[in-house]
Amino acid sequence: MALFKKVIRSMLEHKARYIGSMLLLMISSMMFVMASNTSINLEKAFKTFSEQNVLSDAEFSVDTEIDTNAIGEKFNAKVELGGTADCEVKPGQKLRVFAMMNEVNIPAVEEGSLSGASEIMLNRLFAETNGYGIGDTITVAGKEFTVSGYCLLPNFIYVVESKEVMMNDPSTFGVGVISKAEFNTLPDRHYVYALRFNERDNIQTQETAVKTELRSQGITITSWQSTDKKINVSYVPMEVGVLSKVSVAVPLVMLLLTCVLLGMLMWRMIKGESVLIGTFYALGYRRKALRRHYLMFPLLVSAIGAVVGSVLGILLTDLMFKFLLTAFPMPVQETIYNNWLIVFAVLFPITVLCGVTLGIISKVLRIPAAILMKGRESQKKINLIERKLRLERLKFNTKFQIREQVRSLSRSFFLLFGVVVATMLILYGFTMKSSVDYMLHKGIKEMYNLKYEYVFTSVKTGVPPTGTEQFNAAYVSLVENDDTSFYVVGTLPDTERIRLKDSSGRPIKPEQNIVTLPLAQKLNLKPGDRVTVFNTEDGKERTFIVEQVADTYAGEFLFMPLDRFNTEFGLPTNAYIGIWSDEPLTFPQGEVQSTKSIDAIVAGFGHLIDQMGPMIYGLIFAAFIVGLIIIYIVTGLVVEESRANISLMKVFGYRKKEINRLILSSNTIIVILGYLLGIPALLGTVGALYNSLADTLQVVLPVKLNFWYMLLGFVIVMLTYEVAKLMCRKKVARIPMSEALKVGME
Amino acid sequence: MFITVENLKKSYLMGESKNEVLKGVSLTLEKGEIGVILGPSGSGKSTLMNIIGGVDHADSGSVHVDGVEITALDDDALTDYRRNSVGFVFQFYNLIPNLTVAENIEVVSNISKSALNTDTVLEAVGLEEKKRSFPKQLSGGEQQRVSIARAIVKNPKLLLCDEPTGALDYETARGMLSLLQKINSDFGTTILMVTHNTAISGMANKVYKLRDGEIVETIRHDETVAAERIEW
Ligand SMILES: Nc1ncnc2c1ncn2[C@@H]1O[C@H](COP(=O)(O)OP(=O)(O)OP(=O)(O)O)[C@@H](O)[C@H]1O
Ligand SMILES: [Mg+2]
Repeated sequence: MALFKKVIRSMLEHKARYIGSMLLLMISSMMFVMASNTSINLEKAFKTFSEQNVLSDAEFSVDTEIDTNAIGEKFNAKVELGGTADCEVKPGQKLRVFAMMNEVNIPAVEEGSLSGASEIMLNRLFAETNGYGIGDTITVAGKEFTVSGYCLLPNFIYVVESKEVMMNDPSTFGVGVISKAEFNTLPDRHYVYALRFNERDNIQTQETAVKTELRSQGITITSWQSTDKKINVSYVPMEVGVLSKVSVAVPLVMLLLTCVLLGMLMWRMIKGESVLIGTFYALGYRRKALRRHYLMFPLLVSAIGAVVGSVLGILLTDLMFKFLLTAFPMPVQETIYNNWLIVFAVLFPITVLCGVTLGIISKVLRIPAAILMKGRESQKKINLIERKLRLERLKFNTKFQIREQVRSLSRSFFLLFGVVVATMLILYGFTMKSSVDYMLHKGIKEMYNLKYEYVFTSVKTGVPPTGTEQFNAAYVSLVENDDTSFYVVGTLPDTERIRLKDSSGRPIKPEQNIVTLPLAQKLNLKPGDRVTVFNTEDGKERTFIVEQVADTYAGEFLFMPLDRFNTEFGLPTNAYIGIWSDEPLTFPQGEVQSTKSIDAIVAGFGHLIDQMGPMIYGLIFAAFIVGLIIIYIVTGLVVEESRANISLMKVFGYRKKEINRLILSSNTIIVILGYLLGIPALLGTVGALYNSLADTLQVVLPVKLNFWYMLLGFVIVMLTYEVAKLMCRKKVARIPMSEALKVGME
Repeated sequence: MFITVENLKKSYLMGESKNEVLKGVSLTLEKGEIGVILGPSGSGKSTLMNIIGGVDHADSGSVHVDGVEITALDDDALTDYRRNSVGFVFQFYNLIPNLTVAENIEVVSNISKSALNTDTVLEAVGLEEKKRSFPKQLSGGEQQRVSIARAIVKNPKLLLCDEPTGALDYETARGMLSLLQKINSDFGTTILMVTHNTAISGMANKVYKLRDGEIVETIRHDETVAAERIEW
């Protein structure tokens, strides 16, 4: 009991250290519990939704009507004909109206009831933003409908008009569901078959089988959208993936930090108390009792930190999950918690932390009592680095600060590690922003010298309309891995619409087979390499030789001259599928399959960056706190361990400022070094993250960090450091001169 | 007069009771002289030295050093006084363990305007060979010599030594005393030394015997004894 009181007293004496350790651990457990449970909840909501409402595996359109029952039976699948129509509600306000489905992609009713005759269901955000309550009327394509309820669509969870838009503006775009009978009267309707296989494995292979079967019947597939590539759905599993990655990586790093910190503190404390330990031995205490005593520290710290962190994590899970459900509306589920994960979040840090400290404690306690009794002095050695350092030529202040660093390598290492982590947190958001910025301004804007792209439903031949330029394109997949797909684009060899550069920045024309850098990186292609693909339209295989790599991040493409493209794909030499234009054009109904506006893409990315703001600030704040804790603790340790020196310097007539500069600023080198090491560490991590997201996002983001953000990150790190020093100044001021006058050193 | 201490009083509050450590001490020392303060443990020697050195405050009375009234200075001015005018030698050397011998000396010369060369002072104390060693690698006597080198590197007007030989054996202690005597004659440094070893008083120009916070006896030596010839 007496020993327990000593634990509490020691902890209160050095509050900052133990509270700091607890905080780090708390953040670690909190992040783990929150991210892992949110990911579980989101995954469960998605799984339940997609099973109960029969989410399709693919949606496709063909040039004729097909027998859904026959296909369904043959491939053990559910097939249903439905469709969408983009209708204007008000000028500039578009509603994508879906035909009510009964077998596949069945809409869920969030509130109200299914739509009957002259009724429509809307997505809640669109309805609420634009003031359509249940029972109100809305005019869609010139016809009045009564809003019967709010719907949730399994195949349109993330409501966004197209891949390019990224972030939806609910005042201009929404989703509606009407009965099939009503749908068949809409003007611009587009019929789509939805397909879900009953056998849940090898979806990709099953899809290819269906495509091949359809083609063998002489049917032309005009579009084929695999659901795992459909952004309105695939964003959800991507988010689940990101969350589960974050739930492991960040807490692990924080736990590691806490381990190093607490291990270091325990080492110091036990060494400092070695005389006491020796005395306890002499008094007849057993090693076991002492070990138990010192284990109380990590046990208390880790238990409190992990429990409080886990509880916070549980509370935040609910908030986070609800927040994600507003971005990805799905039928609301009870928030579930994986109890084992929570138990793990509590027990794992306790085990790791106590294990690490136990090792350290045992190591110290193995020193014979007689040596321990002699005290710290007899153990404290000048380490090899200290002895080998040759600093004569340096200025005294520099010398002193270097000595201060090498005096305790564990302390310096901890600080370095901590600053690296804090730097990574600070710069993480900035890097994302830089990358997207770069892609927008250097990638898209530089590559596309056009405003609009129109893709027709079928190949045209001849001369394109004046003021436009024709191109041809095919969506192909790798033969060895049909998950990897990209566009092969044929352009006029002297095109001005697409601007490509080689790695040294010289413009190159698509007179050869040119792959863009993201594609080259993804497939590991160099000039001279071959890439064998099959056309997703007709399944025919082709092999292309890569002749050049273009340094652009605007997307994954293989460019070639138009006539070569047409020859390769067996088309007339003057064939084209689409045109590029600077002016918006109008076409007869059904002629155009898709329209792309470069400005809309840029605006979409712009929205994305805006949305990233709060996250970036949040990360910076978290980094500031973590950095502050770490730097404050280390600076505090430096002060603590330099008490005698500080006292002595005061006697010698050192001024406050001079002492602060020598003692408190001795960590500057490490802080700067930590920042510098943090940058490559971060860029590597972000690069790995981008690569893992490339399949879902369908683009490889360039890993870029703008110089000004780097500078800003540095300023924030140094500011954190200055704040920590400021907080330690009082400690320095409080050390009395008498300390040097009374006792011998150490 | 270089040092004039007049009616210096200092007491500590011990709960309710007051512990009077200095009860009106007066003393004087000429420039270039060696003064010794003798007295038993707890008599207030260190307290007196600390006030003269500007690291402690008196309750009343005054201390003048080289014409400046130390007892009237504020903390910043006292810092400057310690920085420019006083050298300290401590009983337990108080060297910074992770700095080399040369670096320990630079701790002081770093902030001094008229510092002597580190090598010069190391030569003066006979330790030029050991400048790269760490304190732990030196004997007690060598460590004390480093501490003396550190005290004189700024060429102080006044050298204060609190029990400089307290932790040393006989031979080493004598060597240390003769070193101090040499510094006194070579640099003209005024030295005030605290000891409870009566034998040492032979090398002093003036000896003040302190008992219970009061000077009980003052001795003037017109002839001082060379440190090598002191025996105890
Ligand atoms: N900070 C303090 N608070 C209270 N009392 C103190 C303080 N410093 C010294 N004293 C008391 O003042 C008295 C004189 O102390 P001082 O250190 O001056 O003695 P000293 O003559 O140097 O003794 P020694 O030969 O043992 O070094 C002692 O009784 C001591 O207990
Ligand atoms: Mg004393």
